[in-house]
Amino acid sequence: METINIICVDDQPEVLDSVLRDLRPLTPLVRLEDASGTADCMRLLDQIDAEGNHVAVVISDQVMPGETGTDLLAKIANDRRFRHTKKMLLTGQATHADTINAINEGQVDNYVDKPWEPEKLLGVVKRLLTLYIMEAGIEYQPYMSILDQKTLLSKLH
Amino acid sequence: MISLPDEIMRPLKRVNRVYFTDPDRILAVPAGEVLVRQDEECHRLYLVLRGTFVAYRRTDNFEGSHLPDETQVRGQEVFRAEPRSYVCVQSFFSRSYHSSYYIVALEDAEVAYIDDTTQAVEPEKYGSLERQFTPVLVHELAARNSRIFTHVSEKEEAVRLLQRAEMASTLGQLSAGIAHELNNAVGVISRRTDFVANNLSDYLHEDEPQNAQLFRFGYEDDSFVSAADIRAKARQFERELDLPQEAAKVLAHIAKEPGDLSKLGSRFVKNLRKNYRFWELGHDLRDLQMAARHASGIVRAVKLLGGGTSSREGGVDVNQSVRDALNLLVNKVKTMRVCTELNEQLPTITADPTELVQIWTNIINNACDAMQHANTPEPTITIRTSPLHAEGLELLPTDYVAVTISNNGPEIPEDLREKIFQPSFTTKKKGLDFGLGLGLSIVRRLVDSYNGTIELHSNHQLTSFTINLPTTQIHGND
Repeated sequence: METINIICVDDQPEVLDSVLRDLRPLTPLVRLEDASGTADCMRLLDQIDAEGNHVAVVISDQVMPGETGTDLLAKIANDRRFRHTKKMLLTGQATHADTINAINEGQVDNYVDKPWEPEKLLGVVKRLLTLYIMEAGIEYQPYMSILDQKTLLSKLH
Repeated sequence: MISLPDEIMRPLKRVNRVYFTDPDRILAVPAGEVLVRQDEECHRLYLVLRGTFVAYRRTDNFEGSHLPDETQVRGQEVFRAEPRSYVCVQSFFSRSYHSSYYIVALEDAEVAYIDDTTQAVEPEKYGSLERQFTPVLVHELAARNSRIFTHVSEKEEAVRLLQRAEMASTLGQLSAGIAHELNNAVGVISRRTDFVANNLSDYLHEDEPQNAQLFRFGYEDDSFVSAADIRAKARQFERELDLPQEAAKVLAHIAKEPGDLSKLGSRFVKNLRKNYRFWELGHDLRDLQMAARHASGIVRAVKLLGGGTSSREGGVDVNQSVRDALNLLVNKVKTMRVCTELNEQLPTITADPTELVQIWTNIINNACDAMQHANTPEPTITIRTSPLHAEGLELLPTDYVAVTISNNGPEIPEDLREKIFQPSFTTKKKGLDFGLGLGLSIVRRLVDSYNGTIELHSNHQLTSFTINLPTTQIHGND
């Protein structure tokens, strides 16, 4: 069976671990993957796509060595393979210009400040996951327990 | 020299030629000699022919009531008179015949003069003496005007710098206060994390030694394995050992070498499947400990910057001050490659660690800004320390510590190389960087105060600042 993946990107392993832990309630229905930067994330995206699996959400930090989170999300936004993939910026350091870029270039679906509240983060990811499943035309029934009911209802009607 | 229209300059030249060329009325004034004393009678009007004079004004609240002797004339410098300028214009034409200044020769000089007995030359053609000297008065007015403009702009600049310095110092004090409070909090986190980890480890050991082992693996994990490698290995374990994703990831952290898995044994792997959370628990505490250590590093550096008063002591480790500076700028240098080549045989020096950190942070900070601004590809900062022995310099220290901070950012244009060290110079639009003061002017001031030197090399490939600091300080330098 094909898997649905959520990728978290951050150059600080401690932060990455925290995000993954907060999203663990979504497992094992979806797989949580982590990447240490833009390049690493692109490799991971290629791999998941090559295996015929889904990338539902990418959650990225903004300030990282090499390319920024916005750069990464912009790449994903312009990649046909990931046209349904939801993009999220999780950062405490974005400047005003970064934010504008993230919206215009990265076409982010959501923006969460660091430090984040676990429930809020989980809620946002559930919403984005629900949108992805509906838009990508995946049978949603098996995932009912981790979907956002309100989003689901609005998409069903 | 003051430039005036031809209508003034022509008659002025005539006056100088006609009135100030009498060999009997030309005086040589050796360097340091007083030409005119403040408040004393002076019936002459002088024209400087050669050399420079300084005019001092002695204020009334000068200590003691006796007049200082000639070599001790002190007070405020009011102006300098260079060749072709006039001295005592006001006292001469107002007929007060009293100078308002001490006028002292700065170097061997020569003056010509007229006095109150001088008669007008060719009055029938050029008018009275006063009339003939009108250009001199105009010249004097113009000179005073330009002096006032200079003074006003200098004063404004001084006030501006003072305000900036005050702001920097307020920020410094503020951050020192915050740093102190944070230090205590971070200390508690760090110590208690250790206590909790040890207690938990003991408790787990009594219950199930393998869980205690898992916990310790997590707590003592110091691997620097890339996320991609962990991911690949975890996938392999997931497949081959049929482990859940989380457990497989934990195993990927523990079994780094090919033989590790068989060493751990199948019983360990079986336990891991169920109890991988104990590793995560250990790893959480490890992260707490790392975060506390990181925070205390930053707190330490902020405290150093906000230190305030300078106290120089022997035995200061320059390498540590470089690390402190990097700690402080950790967020700024995050997007750059930082290479450090810190010489472990570096001698300690007599210094104030606060000031050293300030020197490095200012240079590194500037380098970062320059590279960011220029969008330098693969921005790299290299910091190298090395001992330096300078033989044969009399009266100068022979042992130095050299710190070279280089970056591959844009070249500093030739004509700016001296200017960048001036307090008023900036290429940045506005804003005061967090607690970092006045940039390179602080660097210059601090390095000077150590009798150190700054070398700047810049081309399109590399810009490097080398700071040489003597290992010892001669008394009275600081």
